[in-house]
Amino acid sequence: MSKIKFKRAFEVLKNHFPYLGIRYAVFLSFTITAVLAITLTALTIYLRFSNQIEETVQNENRNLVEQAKLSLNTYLRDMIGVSDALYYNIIKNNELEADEIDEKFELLYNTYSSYIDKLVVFSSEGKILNSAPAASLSKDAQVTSEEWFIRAKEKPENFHFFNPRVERVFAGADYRYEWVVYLSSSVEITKEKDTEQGVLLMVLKYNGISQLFENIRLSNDGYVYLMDDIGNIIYHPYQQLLASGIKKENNLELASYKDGNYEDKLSGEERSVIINTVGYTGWRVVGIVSTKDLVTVGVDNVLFLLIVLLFLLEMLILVNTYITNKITYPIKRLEESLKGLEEYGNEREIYIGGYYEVRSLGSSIQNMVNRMKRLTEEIVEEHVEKQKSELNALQAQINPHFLYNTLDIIVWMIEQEEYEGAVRAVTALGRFFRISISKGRNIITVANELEHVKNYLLIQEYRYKDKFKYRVHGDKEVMNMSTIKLAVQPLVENAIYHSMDYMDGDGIIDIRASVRDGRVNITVEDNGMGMTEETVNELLKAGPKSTKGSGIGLRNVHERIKLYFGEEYGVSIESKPDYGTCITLIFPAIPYGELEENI
Amino acid sequence: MGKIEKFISLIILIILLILLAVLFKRLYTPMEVASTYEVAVIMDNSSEEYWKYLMLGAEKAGIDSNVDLRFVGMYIDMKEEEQLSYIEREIQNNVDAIVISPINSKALESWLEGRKISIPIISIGGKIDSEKVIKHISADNYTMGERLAEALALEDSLETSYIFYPHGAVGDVVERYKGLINKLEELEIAYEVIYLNSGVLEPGNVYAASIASSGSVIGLTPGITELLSASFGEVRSVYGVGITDNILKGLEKGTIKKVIAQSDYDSGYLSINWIYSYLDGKKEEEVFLEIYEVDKNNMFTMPLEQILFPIS
Repeated sequence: MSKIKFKRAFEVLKNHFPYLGIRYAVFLSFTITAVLAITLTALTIYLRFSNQIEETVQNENRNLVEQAKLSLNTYLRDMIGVSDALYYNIIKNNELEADEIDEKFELLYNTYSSYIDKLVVFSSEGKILNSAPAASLSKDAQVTSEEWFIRAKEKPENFHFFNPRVERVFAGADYRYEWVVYLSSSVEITKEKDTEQGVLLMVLKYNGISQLFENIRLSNDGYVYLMDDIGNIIYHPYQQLLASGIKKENNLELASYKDGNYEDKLSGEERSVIINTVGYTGWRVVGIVSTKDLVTVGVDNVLFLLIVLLFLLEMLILVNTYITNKITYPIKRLEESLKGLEEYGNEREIYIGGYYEVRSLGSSIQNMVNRMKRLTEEIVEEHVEKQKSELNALQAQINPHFLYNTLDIIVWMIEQEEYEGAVRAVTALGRFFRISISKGRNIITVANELEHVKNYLLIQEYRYKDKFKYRVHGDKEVMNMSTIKLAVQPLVENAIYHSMDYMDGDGIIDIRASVRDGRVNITVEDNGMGMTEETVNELLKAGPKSTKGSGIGLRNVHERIKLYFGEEYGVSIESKPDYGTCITLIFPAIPYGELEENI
Repeated sequence: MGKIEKFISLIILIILLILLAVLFKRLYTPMEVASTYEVAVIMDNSSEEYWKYLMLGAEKAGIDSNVDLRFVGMYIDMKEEEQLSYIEREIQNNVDAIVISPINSKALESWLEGRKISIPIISIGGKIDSEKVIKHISADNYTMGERLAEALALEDSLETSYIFYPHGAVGDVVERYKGLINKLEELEIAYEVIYLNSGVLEPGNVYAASIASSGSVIGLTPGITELLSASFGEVRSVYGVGITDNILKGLEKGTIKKVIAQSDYDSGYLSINWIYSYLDGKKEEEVFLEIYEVDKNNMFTMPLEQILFPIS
């Protein structure tokens, strides 16, 4: 269920969250990547660092425990050394009751009195043979039942250390309750040349051991204690409180552990335990450190790390912002300039700047815009030219001379009572002008264009009586093709004025229209004067205005064909002096209606 | 910089500055080694013996808790007026707290009445019935009395027992007495109360004429127990209260049959520990002092050996 909800929420976010611009996308990508990298690095360093700190602290604690163990070892060895010295230098092979033995006893005792409470030699029956200082047994003391006595006799080769106890074996002038540690060993006593097994008891002051541990502090509240091999406390900084149950210690449990480092828990507190066994006695030095202390060591370091991390993050954001801006600002400006172009057209320049790719893009767009601008201008120019040409052509058609002359002819025919001819002439004139105007259209059918020139020739026939004959013919398939209007008549006009005018009735003007190879060919051929090659070449270059006829000429027709249909079309002229002239209009065969008027 | 970037940048900067401030404070302010408090322990006129182990426990707690202890009235045969003047003096010395073992609980209660005292006071030994004393640390004296009676009940002969009631007894002694006689009556053990005329029990069997030739004698204070041991220890069973070196010797020698006691070391430790927790604003734990029955047979066994003979 929660999976579905999560998916839906994600979809909603995806659809409704505003589209992030490239700037934010780049910024977020940089930032997230860098943050991840920094965080991983920092985490790794922190873990390593904190582990190292912990390791260092643990090592320090281990060293302190080791030091305590060595100190205790040294102490125990020293006491064994004193016992040995007492035995081998004083007791062995000497009569214990001799005065000089007493002095030696006293001397040795005095030397070590800060550690030793008593030095006592017992006979095998438990009787005191010698002691320093002087000592007597307490009333209830049963020496031969004491464990230290029994063990010394049973294992004469060893030294026997015993757990601390309140001294009660020996009586004093005043009852004293001191804590002592017994060290017993078997000795060979010489008595009147006989030897017997006795027991040497060194009563050691407890503070000889306690002062080795009292001042050891592990990691703030950590401490060290000493227990025997089965877990009985020998020294503990809270010995009294353990006895009354106010404090707790798991010494009995730890007695089963081997030497080493352990983690344990006592009364809800996590602790680090270090155990080290002292040689010979089997006593164990135990170091206890609360792991809470170890963690506290790291708080300042965590704080420091967080500060460094945040500082880096802050720098990262600033740098990222700068870099992102550097990258995306030119793109933004390019975008804005394109918008400006869209709104305000070519008046606005395209922004070209920033990095290479953006500059290149801007430059390309600017070039494209410039080309578009040029093309537009060319089209406009072309269109204007067309309009001009059309206007010129039209203007030519409404040439007053042609109209006057034609009207004169009609008037004359009416005066001559050649009414039929007059009607035909008026009708032809009307049709001529109707097709000339063609309701303002520039493109008409070939049929209409031929009709137009027929009407023209009919009128001119009346004027140029019997000077020429004419024929107008168009193939069936060409009749419905598109042509520009007023294309043929100017050519026929030229033929009349420049050739037929000089003929004596045998002039022929032949107009043919056909479709060949996808092109419309309209030829106007005459058998008139012809022209030289130079004259032909000049005709299409300049636009000489003829004084006769419409005056718009060949060039206008040629230009209009090119404008409408392309550079590869137009007017071609073949002429030979005295033979005549053939002018061909060539343009693509496009059925009427398919050609855009406003090309 | 966009709005979101500015906002995030600002938040991070604020957090950074806060953390920097925290770090500088931690690094450059002198580390307080857990607040150090000054506590005055005003003793009563009990013997040095009585205070020996209590002081040991108190000093141990002082080291652990970083409390500076001042023991006032040591080794002086102090009267109650003197004790009150010591309290006044320590308050004027601006101690942080007072631990007191009252010589006269009633007198102290009257003295505290109507006084404006802004520091905490706790009592050990005798209980003080005053709202200004915020804690009393002691074993349950009534129960001690009961346990004393139960110890008596184990005697082979059930002769009349003689309870030596100290002159001017107040507070804890009265509680013990009540516990003792209630239990004795419950156990149907005959007893007689010997009212001491003065504050001390004169040695030399001075009361021997007024009591029967046999029957146990019971002391309600350590001092009386010691004197009973000296006076009657050889000839009758002596029962008592408290642990001193003389009492321990008596137990060892056999001149004292059994005593009921608390650990003075624990009392000293717990009182200072408790007052430290209070001053430091930590949760104060309840204090329970165990009651021990001590005789010759168990005094040198663990854990009693450790409790009765704290290592100094």
